[in-house]
Amino acid sequence: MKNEEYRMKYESLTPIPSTKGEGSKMKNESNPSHKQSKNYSSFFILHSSFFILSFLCSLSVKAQGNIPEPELPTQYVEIKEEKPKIPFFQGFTLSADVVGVAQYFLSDYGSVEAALRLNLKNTYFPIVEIGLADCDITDENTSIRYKTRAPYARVGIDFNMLKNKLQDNRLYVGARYGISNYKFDISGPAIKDPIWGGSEPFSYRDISATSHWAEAVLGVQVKMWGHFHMGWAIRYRHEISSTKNKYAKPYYIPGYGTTAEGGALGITYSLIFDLNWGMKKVKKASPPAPLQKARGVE
Amino acid sequence: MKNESLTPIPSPKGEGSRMHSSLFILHSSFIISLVLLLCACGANNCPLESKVTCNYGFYDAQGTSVKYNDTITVTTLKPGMKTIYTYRKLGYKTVVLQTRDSSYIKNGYTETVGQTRRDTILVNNLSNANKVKIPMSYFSDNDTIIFAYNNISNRDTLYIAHDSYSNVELPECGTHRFHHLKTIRCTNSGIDHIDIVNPEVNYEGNENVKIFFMGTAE
Repeated sequence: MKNEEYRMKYESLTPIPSTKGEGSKMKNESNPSHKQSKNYSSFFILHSSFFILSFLCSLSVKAQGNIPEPELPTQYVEIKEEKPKIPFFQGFTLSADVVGVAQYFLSDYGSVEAALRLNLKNTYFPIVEIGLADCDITDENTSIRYKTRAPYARVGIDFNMLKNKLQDNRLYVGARYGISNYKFDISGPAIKDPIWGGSEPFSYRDISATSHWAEAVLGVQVKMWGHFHMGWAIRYRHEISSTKNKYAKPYYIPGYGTTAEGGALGITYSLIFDLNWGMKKVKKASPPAPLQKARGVE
Repeated sequence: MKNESLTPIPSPKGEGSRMHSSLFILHSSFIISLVLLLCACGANNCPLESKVTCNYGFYDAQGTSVKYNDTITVTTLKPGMKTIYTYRKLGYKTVVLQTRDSSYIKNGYTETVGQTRRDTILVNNLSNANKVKIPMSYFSDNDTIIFAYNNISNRDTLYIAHDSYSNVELPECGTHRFHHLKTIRCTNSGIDHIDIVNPEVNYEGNENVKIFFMGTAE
């Protein structure tokens, strides 16, 4: 019983087949013939003699089983799963964002953005993102126009959350620090004093500003074919600081988005190309070591 | 070829079907995220208090916040003069108009054309209040505000020197005119003294000036 429990407990261990039981089981499973006979006495004799013979056979087998034989300890050999060693440096990926470009054509602002990402042990992905953003928006109700065009940069790191680091698909979380130094123009209808009277044009050009922000990233990436991957990510952005100007608050920060509430959330859809230059091959896991046979067992 | 070595678990499916399932998962999750993201947008972020006023608090001479019992009417002097037409007739009430009306002349009135100050009432008959909100001029550096009391025959005049500038918080919220108080002084009919406590006048609603009236609250 103990051996059986041991077998159940360690499934990865390979039990050595037992010599007992099978043969006797087979012998006990023999069935009597079912020939009918009109003569009940001959039927009785036939069957009774069969049972007697069967009983004697079973006794002889039992007697043979009681022959003392040396108790051989069963040996179990643990199969050691060899984890493949992932080299530290796994190459580069180059990616481009599609959402920013789509926004440029469909709305009043957008961006072109490329990113270079390192692959360290298929787990850590330091990344640099550089882009150029453009915004030219005029509010329908107030006729106030905000305009800016400037580059931006982000640096950060992603962490692959999947347990199997070797598969091509990835679910990752990450963080970014973003910065942009830019100038913006803001203009609108002339301002009129309703009480004292008078008016003044409202137009300010080349207001300089520098913004810093942080981002939390959650994204997925799947392999399409070959070295080509696609992926998207949701980004929660938090403005750390922006240069204060008494005339206007920056409405659109390049790389950050609009500063209105709700603009803190962003989304990117990336086309990703593996640049495997410098990547080392991962050794495949070796097959399990041959089992050691228990002594006395064929 | 190098990527193949990174895939220890061979897929039973073909490359094409695997790509399609990956695309489906990728795009469906992307669309769900996009919808959630769009639902999160659309809030109005404009300030609730859209009118920019200079906020005055009322205090007694010792600095205790009080409700001023007297009725106050606040007027201001606007720059320049305005033309007025005065019609007089013996035994009849004098009529003062800002536009000419020839019908009075036909009825025997004498017309006199004159110039007068362009006073404007900013707050009319404020009573039992502990604060008052008074607008400021957009383009003048000096405002003259007059406090007229019911129970005090003389008026008090406040002279306010300030800078003004336009401000846009968000394009959808429009343009506001903010001010920076530089100096303030006043006459002493009912007012003991006056202090600037917050020079930045905007729509945040902070108290900008403390007016200390003569007398002490019981």
